Amino acid sequence: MSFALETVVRQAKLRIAIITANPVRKATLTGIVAGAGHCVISDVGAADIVISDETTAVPAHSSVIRLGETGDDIAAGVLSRNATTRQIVEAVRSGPGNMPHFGPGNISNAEVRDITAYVHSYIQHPINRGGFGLGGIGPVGEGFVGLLIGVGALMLVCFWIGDRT
Amino acid sequence: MIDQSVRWLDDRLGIAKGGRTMLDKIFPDHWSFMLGEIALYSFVVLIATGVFLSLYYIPSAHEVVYHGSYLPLRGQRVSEAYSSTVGLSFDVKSGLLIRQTHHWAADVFLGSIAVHMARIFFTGAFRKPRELNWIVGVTMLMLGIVNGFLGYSLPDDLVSGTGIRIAYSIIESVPLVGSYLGFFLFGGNYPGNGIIIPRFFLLHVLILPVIIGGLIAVHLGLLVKQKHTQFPGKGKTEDNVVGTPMFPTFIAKTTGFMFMTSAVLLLLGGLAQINPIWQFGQYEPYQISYAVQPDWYMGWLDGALRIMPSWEWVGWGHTLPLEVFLPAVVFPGLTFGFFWGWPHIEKRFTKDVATHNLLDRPRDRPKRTAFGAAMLMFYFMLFAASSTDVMANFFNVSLNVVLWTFRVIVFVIPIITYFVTYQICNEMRAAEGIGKRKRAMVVSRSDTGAYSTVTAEPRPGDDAHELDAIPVPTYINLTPEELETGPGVRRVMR
Amino acid sequence: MSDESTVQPTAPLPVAALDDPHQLPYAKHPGRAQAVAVVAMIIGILGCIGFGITYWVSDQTQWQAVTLGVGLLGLGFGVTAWGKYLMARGPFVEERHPFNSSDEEVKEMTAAITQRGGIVVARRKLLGGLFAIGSLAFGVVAAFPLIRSLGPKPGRALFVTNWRRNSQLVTVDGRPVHKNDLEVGGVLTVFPRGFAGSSPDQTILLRIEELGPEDPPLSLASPGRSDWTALGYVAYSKMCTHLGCPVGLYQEQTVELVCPCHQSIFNVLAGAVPEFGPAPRPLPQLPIKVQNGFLVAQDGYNQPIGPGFWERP
Repeated sequence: MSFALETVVRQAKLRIAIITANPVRKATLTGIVAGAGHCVISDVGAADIVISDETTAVPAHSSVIRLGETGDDIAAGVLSRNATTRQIVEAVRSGPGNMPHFGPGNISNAEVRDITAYVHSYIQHPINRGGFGLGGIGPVGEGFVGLLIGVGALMLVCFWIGDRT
Repeated sequence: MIDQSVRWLDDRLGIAKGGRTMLDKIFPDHWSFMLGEIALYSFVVLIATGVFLSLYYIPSAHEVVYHGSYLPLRGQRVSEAYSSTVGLSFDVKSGLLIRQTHHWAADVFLGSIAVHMARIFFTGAFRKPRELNWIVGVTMLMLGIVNGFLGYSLPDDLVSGTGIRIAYSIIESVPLVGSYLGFFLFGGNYPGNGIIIPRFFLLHVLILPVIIGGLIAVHLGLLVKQKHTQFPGKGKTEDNVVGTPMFPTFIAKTTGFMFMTSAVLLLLGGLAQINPIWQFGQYEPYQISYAVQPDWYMGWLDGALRIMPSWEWVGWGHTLPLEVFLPAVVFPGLTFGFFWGWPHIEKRFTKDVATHNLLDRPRDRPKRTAFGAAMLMFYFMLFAASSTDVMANFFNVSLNVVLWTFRVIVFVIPIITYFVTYQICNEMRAAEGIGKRKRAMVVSRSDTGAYSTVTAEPRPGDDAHELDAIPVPTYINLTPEELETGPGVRRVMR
Repeated sequence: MSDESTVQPTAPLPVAALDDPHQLPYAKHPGRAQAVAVVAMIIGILGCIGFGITYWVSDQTQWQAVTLGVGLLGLGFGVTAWGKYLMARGPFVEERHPFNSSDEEVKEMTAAITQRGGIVVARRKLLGGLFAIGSLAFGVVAAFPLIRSLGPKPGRALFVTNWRRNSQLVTVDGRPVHKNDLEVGGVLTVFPRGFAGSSPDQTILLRIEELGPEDPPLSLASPGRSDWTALGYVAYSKMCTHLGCPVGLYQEQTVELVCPCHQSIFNVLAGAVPEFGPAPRPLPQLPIKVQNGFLVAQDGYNQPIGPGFWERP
């Protein structure tokens, strides 16, 4: 989660307005903020803090938190294996495309933080102690390498040692 | 000293005469005759690495808390089988190298059996008197596939555990006795009482390796007794074998090959990651992930299961799940039955009951070659069909398209292969001297202006074996000086 | 046979001529071939020593593999090159002696079996027959401990799960599922209380819509049952009816459950009926209701869950 959002979430109960044109983003942020115990309201004037993203015009307010990056393709970002924290959290909470929604009652904020940490460390930088990862798709890649390179190399050796008439 | 040892043994075992024959045994040299050796030496590597692994692996489904050095698992409750395998990979020196070499050796073992079997098939080496050896070989293929499945299921990880669930359901699908067999084998309703891991372990490290080892001994024994086949050529008849003697030449080449096979498997084992179970997590019967395929040699079964339509027969108070029973029980049964029976089946068509020690060139038997190629393609299509989900993802097409494509090509491509191969064989036979270097026609003009052509001399090496084969000499009497020098070694006086 | 230890043959035997081309090495330049083999062997030895050092010094699998692999490759290449290029090139020939016996001998063998054996069988029919029956009897009963003792009989185990009337739905951690826990489009694996993690009981709970207690229940096409849903929640057995894999993939927008093993696709709004792939039957639906704010089962499953088997009606 971004530092600003994290700070907000940790504070005692506030009234927060979320202004964004992106309904998916709105749902995500509502989920996170409400899940942390705050009150999400629509009246900007009455809000303690306004959370917004860069492309949305927001009325003047003393305390505005602007979240950078409006990447709509949350799913694409996660799939591309360099998802940011925001993309992961949004993907979990708002379920882009065909992905299900996992609200706080299902996967708690602490669990989402664990998921994010795991994705950042062990998925994006997997421990490939055994050597080249071969695409990380399991037996399909292994079969290719075992047959083409393993059996192939040894057949070439046979070709060298033996007769070719 | 050698003389004394030989006498010592001969007085007790009478080995001198038979031993001499063994040392003089001739092995033909063609490269395709070495494919079986790849399998043999992969098996040796499997045994050597397997013994090491069995000193660390704990065959138990009992839950323990993981305390090793792979952080994400620390404090998790996992089975001892999984914990000990992760421990082997992270906390035993050279453990991961040996574990991966073992797994690569299994894949290469079965791959080399497949190419070896193809060579035997396409050259007709299974004909009389070698039908028995063919049957032994097919049996080893079957047992090897089973043993491979048992082996990669031992770590109790999420991917292989899913495979065990599928195996249980396949057993369950057998009519009349299926549910009983499943409960007996697993000790209860899936996942059973945990006994399946130790049972797999016992089968994998003792029972099946002993059987396969014994069959290898039979396989090689038959080969020694019946002598190896050879391609027809200069000086080669149905009644002789031309090649190199066992001692010292063949032993040198085959020992070197054993080292090289081990080297290739070790290099794969340390440079190419295989089965990284710490990334998959331990097996829980209610969890699953993406790209759950079996190892390559089970792929043909998985592909068959995926493309089979959902025909289940229900009637008279019973269910016969044909969508499981047909592709996973009947089909492999038919496959191995067909493989076992092939020498007999071919005899029905060719009416050929003569003894054959000379091999066919594949092109000289276009029907057999085309049929074999078509069958290979059929099993390859099924093997490819086991990666439908990976393909749909990779090529960005719908699962529907991939599935229906495979349902069609699994029959169409082998048929096309048959006709294409048949055609290629006939064309290769029609072209004389195909594959050989052509000799130049030298055109010369005489003084009177007449042209004449003469074929150029064969280049050195064109006729690789210009010499006639001779029997292995009994004595090579060399003086001490001749021993040091002699053919191939030159000493220069300083 | 009664010679003293002497190497000399007592009769003239074939001796190879020194300049016989068959004894020459295969290589045209044996010196060069030997040099290559020597270099390979030295690399091999260095590689093996390298592995020895690497083993003590580092934990890197890759270095261990490269050193030992190059070591064995070098040694192997050297020995092979020795055998192929530097030893007597041959070719040598060996005669195949037909190993089948003469017609006479085959007849004698057959006669030994049929005639000697025939006499025994003819004269001592009773003994022979009894032994045959005895062997058969032993063979049959030996199968009993080998097969039957392995495990329990299935009995009713495949027909029932631990889901009963009023079984509380809990997560794998044992936490009861509250009616507000899932959002629309959410999915959760649940078990009956007391049996969290039990394989046959695995059930997948989906929230299709957010409905109030006064709203009409979620509308499901047959064989799905709307009266088995609660507040927009529906529950199905997670065990695929094809081969028992957990049907863990939920496609929210198309409202489908996908089994990752062989890609069977189940229509959630039509009682999880399979619309694609090899699965033969719909996923059995678990009837659920809300009790004191938490989700519980109205009853167990109305049919055996999971893949098909012979006794399944």
